[in-house]
Amino acid sequence: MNSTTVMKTFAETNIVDAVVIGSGAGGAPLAAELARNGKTVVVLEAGPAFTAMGHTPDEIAARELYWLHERLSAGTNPQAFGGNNSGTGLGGSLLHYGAFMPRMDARDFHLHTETGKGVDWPFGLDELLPYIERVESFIGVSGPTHYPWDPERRYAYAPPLANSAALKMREGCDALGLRHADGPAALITRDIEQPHFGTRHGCANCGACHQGCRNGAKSGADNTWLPMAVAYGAELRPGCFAHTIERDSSGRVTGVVYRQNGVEHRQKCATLVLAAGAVETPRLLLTNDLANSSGQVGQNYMTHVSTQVWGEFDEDIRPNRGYPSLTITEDMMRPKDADFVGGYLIQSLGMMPATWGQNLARSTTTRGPAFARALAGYNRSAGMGINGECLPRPENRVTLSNEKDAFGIPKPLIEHSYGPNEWAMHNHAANLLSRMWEAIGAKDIRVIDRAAHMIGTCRMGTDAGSNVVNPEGRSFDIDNLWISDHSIFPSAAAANPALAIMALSLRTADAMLKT
Amino acid sequence: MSVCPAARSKNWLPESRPAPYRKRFGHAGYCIFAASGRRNHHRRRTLKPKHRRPQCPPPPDRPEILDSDHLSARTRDILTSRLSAPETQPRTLSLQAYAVLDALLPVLLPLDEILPPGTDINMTARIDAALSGPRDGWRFADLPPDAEAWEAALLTLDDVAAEQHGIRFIHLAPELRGTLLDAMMTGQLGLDRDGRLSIPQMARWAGDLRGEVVDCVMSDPRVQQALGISSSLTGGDTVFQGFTEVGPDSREDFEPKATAPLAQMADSRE
Repeated sequence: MNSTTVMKTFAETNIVDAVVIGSGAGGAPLAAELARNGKTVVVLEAGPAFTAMGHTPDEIAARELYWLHERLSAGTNPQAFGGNNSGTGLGGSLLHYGAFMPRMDARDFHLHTETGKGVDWPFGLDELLPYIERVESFIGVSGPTHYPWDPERRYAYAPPLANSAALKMREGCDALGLRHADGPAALITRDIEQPHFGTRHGCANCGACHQGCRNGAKSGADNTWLPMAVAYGAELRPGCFAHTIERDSSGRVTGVVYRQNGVEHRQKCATLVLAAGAVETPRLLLTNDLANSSGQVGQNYMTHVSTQVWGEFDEDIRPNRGYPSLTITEDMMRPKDADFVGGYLIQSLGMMPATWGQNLARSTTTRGPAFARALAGYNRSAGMGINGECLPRPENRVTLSNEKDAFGIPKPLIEHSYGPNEWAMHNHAANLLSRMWEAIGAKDIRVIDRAAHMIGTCRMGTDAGSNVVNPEGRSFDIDNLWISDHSIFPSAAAANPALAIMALSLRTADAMLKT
Repeated sequence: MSVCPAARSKNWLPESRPAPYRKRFGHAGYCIFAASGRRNHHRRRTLKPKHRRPQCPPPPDRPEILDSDHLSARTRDILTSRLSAPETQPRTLSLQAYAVLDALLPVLLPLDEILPPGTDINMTARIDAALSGPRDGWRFADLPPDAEAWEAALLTLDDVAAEQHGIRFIHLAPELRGTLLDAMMTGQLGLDRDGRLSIPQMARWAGDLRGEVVDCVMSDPRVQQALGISSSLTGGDTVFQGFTEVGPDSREDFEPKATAPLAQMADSRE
């Protein structure tokens, strides 16, 4: 926050206009927008307030940025949480996200109409685009002067330096005749004065985006939306774990009970916004038995097919250096030879050593000197990865397990299994990316089967019988309860979710202001 | 417990000891009793008490990356803390399970071609301690909580060793230890009884084991130095330098060169 700003505070007995649970991509833009329009807002954040220069590139210590309340992962593709999924602290997952910021493809809003599979969004790209552009403009996104798949698009900042993996992926694309570009990245490449925050420096190519940006280059909530919210009178309360939603006799929400430093507190509110992510938001609703007349809370859990392919090169690659995932191709958004619906984006991958080693360790069974040799190949390794559509499936969902956490609340059980469409996409990508690396002389090519991100679980739509919230994010069951995060996505789409979450957040704020 | 692996390890022996002796045991020198109160268990009969050798030798040469001004003070403290073993061992596991872990690590991931001779990064102790610390926020639903799963998995390996070979896991020759690990990783080893893990559970846990080992290794400053990894050197506290060169074959002067025999190929091209 700007050091000159004094944050307004509210008494717990005040009935504030809105309590927002979660301070990341879903909660922060909405909180800022409500506050800017004169609403009284309290943001409850379970994690602490970090300082940028206090972040460390040490991957073990940087786990402090992850949501560490234990989750149980099941299904035939049990998903790894921790590093890749869900953050904690003021700023939420944007503290550790990779800042890869593609826009959703217009076709992905209408997947069911196009293919008969999946689900349509209740609106199209044209509805979300103005909000997308507002987000990009306010937080700062870098990109190329000419974006091959959308020539009209403009970015305010030049791309950061292309690292080894980005350059290698360009070669791989050229070898197979694919178009490529510098991808949209939510970081700034020159120093600026961010309104309500202060100086943000241009990207220093340190490569530790996932461990927290130390100089403010990466565009998160902590250096954009949250300072704006505070400047307009919102109160941010870190270290507050919300667990109980209170209602009056008519069923409307009256307040939230949360624990801070071991003590229970109660904040009264006229409106409640859940922005805790696709696991914690449905968990809150399920534990409070709320807003679930559709039976859809926790259902339709989706991820992204996030297959990676790594190779070793003769050169000194040093994959920790530079923005990790600069090169993009959108040529596989609807590949002609696809035996699946939807599509995928490809990005280059640099990576920090323990994260890279974890992927290697979990995807192979090598042992002894061969395992040591594989790890010793770190500095010669470059990767590519995809983010691809994942269809909703009835067996993929978030439910409450029989185990309780330290607060006495059931731990969430997340079941995740690939279906035929996800496997077909994985195989297509594994084959293509392997051929790209082979074409430019990579050795020891290794395919890693993995899924990333968390999407769905409180679907938005027009029909109250099959959706949890309406197309603005408002609960069908409780008129002063709103959801603003990726749990309302009807389909996964291929793009990384942060940009759409923020755009929807602004749109939901607009809808709230009109009520 | 009848064996202390460290008592016959290279670390306990003088640096001048011939390598073949050290290699005979194929052990990287993890001491399961260090700082556990059994202070004299390494003492040779020929040594008088006043000449006792230290059980856990001081760390080898301090990795140069720790003195770089491209390192923040916080990161330096974090990395430096890994140079010494946790004070209490074992902290999480039983002595029996700890000894199994100690005996499997050098078979799973030998570090003698990565680290300088005589370097002990205290993997067993660090992993055992990590199991009692904050975890990474999730676990496989078909495994019990981490500390319990590790205990059960390691005892499963010990029981299977006894059933198949008539001796405990720690007494098996390295080749046989490796065979059991391979069977575990490929879904062929497990026990259907209380306090042990079944075949599918052991295969799941094998991934957790491998991941934990890699976390421990790749986050160690001695390993980063030996492999020439500059990931900790993102920038100091007063000047946040980052990197100015990020393309292939462009190591900057402050970045370490690989010294490990396994990793020198790239640097030798310069």
